[in-house]
Amino acid sequence: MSAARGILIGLGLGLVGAGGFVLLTEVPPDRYLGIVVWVGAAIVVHDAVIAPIAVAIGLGAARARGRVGRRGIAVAQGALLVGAILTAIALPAIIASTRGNPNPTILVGSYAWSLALAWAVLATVAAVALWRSGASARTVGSPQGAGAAADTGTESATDDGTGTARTK
Amino acid sequence: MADLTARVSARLAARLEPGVRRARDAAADPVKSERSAVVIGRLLAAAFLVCFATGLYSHLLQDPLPWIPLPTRPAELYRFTQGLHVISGIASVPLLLGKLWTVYPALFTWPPVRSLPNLLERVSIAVLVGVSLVEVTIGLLNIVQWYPFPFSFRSTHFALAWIAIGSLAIHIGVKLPVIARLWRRPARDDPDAAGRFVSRRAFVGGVTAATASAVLLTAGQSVDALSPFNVFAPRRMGVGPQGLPVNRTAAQAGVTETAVAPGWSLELVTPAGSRAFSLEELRRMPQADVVLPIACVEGWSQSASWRGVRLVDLLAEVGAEPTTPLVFTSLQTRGSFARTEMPPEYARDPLTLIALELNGSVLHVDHGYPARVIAPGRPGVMQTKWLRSIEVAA
Repeated sequence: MSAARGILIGLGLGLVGAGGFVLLTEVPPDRYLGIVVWVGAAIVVHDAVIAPIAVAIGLGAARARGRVGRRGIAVAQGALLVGAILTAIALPAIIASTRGNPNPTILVGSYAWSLALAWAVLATVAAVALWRSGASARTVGSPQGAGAAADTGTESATDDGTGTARTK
Repeated sequence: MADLTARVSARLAARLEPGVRRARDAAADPVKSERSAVVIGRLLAAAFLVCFATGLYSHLLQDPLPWIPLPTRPAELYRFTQGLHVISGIASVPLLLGKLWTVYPALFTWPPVRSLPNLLERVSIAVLVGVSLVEVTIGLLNIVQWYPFPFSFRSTHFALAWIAIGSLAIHIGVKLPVIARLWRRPARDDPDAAGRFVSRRAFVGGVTAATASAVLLTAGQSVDALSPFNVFAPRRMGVGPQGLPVNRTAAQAGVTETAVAPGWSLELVTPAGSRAFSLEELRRMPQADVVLPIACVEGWSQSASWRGVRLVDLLAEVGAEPTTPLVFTSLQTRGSFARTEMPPEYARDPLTLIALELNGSVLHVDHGYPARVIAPGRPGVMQTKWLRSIEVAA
């Protein structure tokens, strides 16, 4: 194991060195600052914007789960995730389309409409799942059933405890 | 002085520590376990490795190393590798974000740095995360030809790829005991256990669904079978002059007048002298029909029928035998591919044509009229359009 770790870390350092060599030989030095800024900004945008939004959505979902049921909230979150990824993929195409390109064979799709349609499909899937699981949560409605999850504050605390114990 | 420093740092710690703890508690989730990181991480590592290998191959084809022979067959090899490059890059978007989601609470530790090895590990992870995010972002921007970043795409994407894959190897090396321990699901671990809001199975399912839909809705720009589902890719099969997309139009290359000027001829320069072939002469030579793809570095590709003079026949006309790279010069005045080199193995391949026709009619000017190169297994940017001359060295 320790030999494999040594090889991987050594190999990694060599590859990073190769990247540094390419930077030194093929990228003009006046571009370095821009690259460093982009790499730093990528970390900040992820850690301070994207990830906190994901955490906030999760906390909101945990709170709503008791009312609408586990399955519904899982499907809704899956739909949100798919939609967010498709938005990330489509957004450059949407913006680049508005900027225009002298080449008529690129950016040939209607990306904004396609994205709107994708969100409509995902919202429908999520709404159906939420309605069905909400209905079953209400009909089961006993303290032992999905209704027990309605007590959001304590519920998430117990989840944390058991889950952590399991994974640790 | 030392006393003052100690007091200031103690105050700072007292202020920051509760915030860091609160952030960690807010982000914590039983589903964000080491096992989840391994499950998503190995998929991401596979996507990155495929992306790196195929990208390296593309760079090798564009800047060949004399001691590495390049394969001319299968003719669709570059179409396959470069399509895969963009597909694996797009798949990396949900996988990377999913992986970061599972480890986000680890960002908030107190104290932020425990030891020198810990500092080095955190720095290497920062490099891995930052560079990986930039690589997929500028990759997505490049395929839509939008360049809002203050550096050149090609050389930066190449340099950062080495750094990303190197810091990935370091990261795997550091985490190897954890990866080995959790490669298979531990006996007491339950993927359906409740997380804070979803189970791990639901989380992995969501990431899989996001990856599958991102790939399904874009891969059709290079995979024939998926072209009906191509909704979000910048290119679409069949859309372009003569039913084929174009990387750079005649207007973009600045050849709208020179390409159609009467009196055009293709100059063949050999050590013995040079000879000009008019378009009529080229048309009178034996014509060959081949089916070869145009495969762009930007990931789109499409197969097409080409008709023209075999390069080997043309070279035989002047008694040239290619043993060193040939130099092709285009009429285009703009762009870095106005002059390209072709290793001799491609020049000797009977599939390589000086193409005059595409899909049954004379080449459209955007496809390189009067004559262009089409060779098996090469990037589209090397399939020089609007040919002016071919040089054969001794």
